[in-house]
Amino acid sequence: MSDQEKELTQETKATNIMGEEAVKNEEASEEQGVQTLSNTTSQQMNAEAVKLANEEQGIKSSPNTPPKQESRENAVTKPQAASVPPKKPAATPRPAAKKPAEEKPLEPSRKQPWLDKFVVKLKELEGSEHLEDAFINRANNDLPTLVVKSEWWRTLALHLRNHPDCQFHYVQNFSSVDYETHLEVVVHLFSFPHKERLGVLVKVDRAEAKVDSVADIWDAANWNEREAYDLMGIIFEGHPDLRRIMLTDQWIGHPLRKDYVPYDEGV
Amino acid sequence: MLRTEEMLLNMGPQHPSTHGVLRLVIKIDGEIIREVDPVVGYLHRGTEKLAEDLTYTQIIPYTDRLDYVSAMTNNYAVVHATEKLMGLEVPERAEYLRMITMELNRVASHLVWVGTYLLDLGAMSPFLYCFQDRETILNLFNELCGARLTYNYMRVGGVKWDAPEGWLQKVEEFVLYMQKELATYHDLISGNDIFLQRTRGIGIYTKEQALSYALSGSNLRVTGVPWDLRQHQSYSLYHQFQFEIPTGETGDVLDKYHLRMQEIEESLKIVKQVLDVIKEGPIMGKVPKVLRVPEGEVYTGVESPRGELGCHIVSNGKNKPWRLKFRRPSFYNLQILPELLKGENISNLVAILGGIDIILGEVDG
Repeated sequence: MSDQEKELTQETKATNIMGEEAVKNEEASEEQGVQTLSNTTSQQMNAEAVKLANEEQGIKSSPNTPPKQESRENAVTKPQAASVPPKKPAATPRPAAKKPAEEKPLEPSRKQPWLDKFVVKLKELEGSEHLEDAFINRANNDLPTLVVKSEWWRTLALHLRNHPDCQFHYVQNFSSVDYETHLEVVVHLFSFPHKERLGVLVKVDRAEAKVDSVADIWDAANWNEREAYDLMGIIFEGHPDLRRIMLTDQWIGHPLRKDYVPYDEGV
Repeated sequence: MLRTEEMLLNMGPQHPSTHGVLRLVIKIDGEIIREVDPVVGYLHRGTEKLAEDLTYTQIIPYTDRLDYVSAMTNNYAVVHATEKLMGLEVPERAEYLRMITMELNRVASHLVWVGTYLLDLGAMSPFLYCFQDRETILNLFNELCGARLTYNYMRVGGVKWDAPEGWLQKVEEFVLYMQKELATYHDLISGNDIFLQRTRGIGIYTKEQALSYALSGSNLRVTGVPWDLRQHQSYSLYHQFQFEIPTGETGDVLDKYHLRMQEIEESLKIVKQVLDVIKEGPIMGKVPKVLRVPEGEVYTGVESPRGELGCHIVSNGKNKPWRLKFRRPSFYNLQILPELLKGENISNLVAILGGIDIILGEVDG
């Protein structure tokens, strides 16, 4: 370990301790804040000031970490994409058997049977080994959600748009997230004929952020992909007109990336 | 026929009928529009990036500045998504107050549209009527939360202020007045020959196009799709109340005008029903002092005056969102503009653009 590295680890240790203290202080001051509500204003202001300072410390010492995606799998029943052989709609009982290990045994979602059937059909599609996961997002009104690799996105999109069982003609939302390990394109679709909602999370490599464009499948994706390119730095291959849309053409970097540092010529 | 040369025309970003800072780069051949390229982003403030460094309560005032004509719905969009992720219960009175303010805001927003749209077409007086009535609503809001436009009224778990004494009566008076007053608007506008000629048969698109471009709100309903999130993906307590979803027939801009006028009527109906059932009670639910939103991902859409206003939150369990994305209806609705304008006469440009009802603060985020 070089000296520099040693210094770094010491620093992180120090900041960690500070972080714990900060959290404790914050909690204490929270209580204080509640107690002093009826007291004089000066005390209130003091408590507020302490809390503010602590919060500031908290921010500095404990870095903001991306949400752990494993939690998704714990929270939901999911038919195992890789291990469960296709044409086995009995995928529900298996995760249900895993369930009792959890703290809060949830009843299977009302959407689970629909998703299971849907996934079985998707398995028949070419390239379906790229379907990484399928789960129900319980927090989000039981939204059935698919997790796919970027190389399969276009095939899947065409299927979702055109297949008579899907007919997802409507893009409710088109978003992108930087998880620091990878990027994700998040698309929420709605099917008017079937009255179904579906979330698709497309995992995109962070260093080489490239994914096929779906602007010709849904017109709504056109500007949204430009926005995702502009702010998140995802390159949509095959897009008819991939220019920056919000920022100026000369802008350097993609602001919504977590490691974005504003470029300033003066510095 | 006269031989003409293609000309490049730059409209905006400072142009009164773009309602903000929209720039259109237009290729015209004589009077006919060949191609339009909307340039947006002049009002981009990076709300989504800023939100990553703000606590959930601190984000609320930023949402006021997105769609500044109906800030109440914006407040609600972010508050609703957060509540969903936290699984919070909101007291009944708070929900009712939210609904009253949101629906009044919808009325105000549509009045702004009617007024400024007719101003675009060259009619001055309807604008004055609209803004007079809108002012009544803004005064009501001012009394409620101390601001005319940027309300910062809602909180995660409830609302900030209870209705002051006599406020609900004032709202009721306004609703009764406005229901009658709409007849004046129809007298003034709906039969006007110049207005009819400027708006009839222009800016038509099909249902399929509307769905593919993910248009929402009146821009989608005008094609005959009865799609309203207040009923179909019901939020707040809208399921308790009766209201119609007006749809269009021909899909032209004139239809949009009638549709929005009907929506004002429906909103007033909802407010009236809420006023009948609202009771005294708490206005804030049981909310921890520091909001820590559990890890997870949520997308919720609400029906803003312009369409589906969505909020996509990814939380990592801290007091600040890891990622927050707004699905801004104006941004989606504006996208269809180049297709609508292709081959149109240049004198229809303003009439079609105005019909979409965009707010640039929302387009640019």
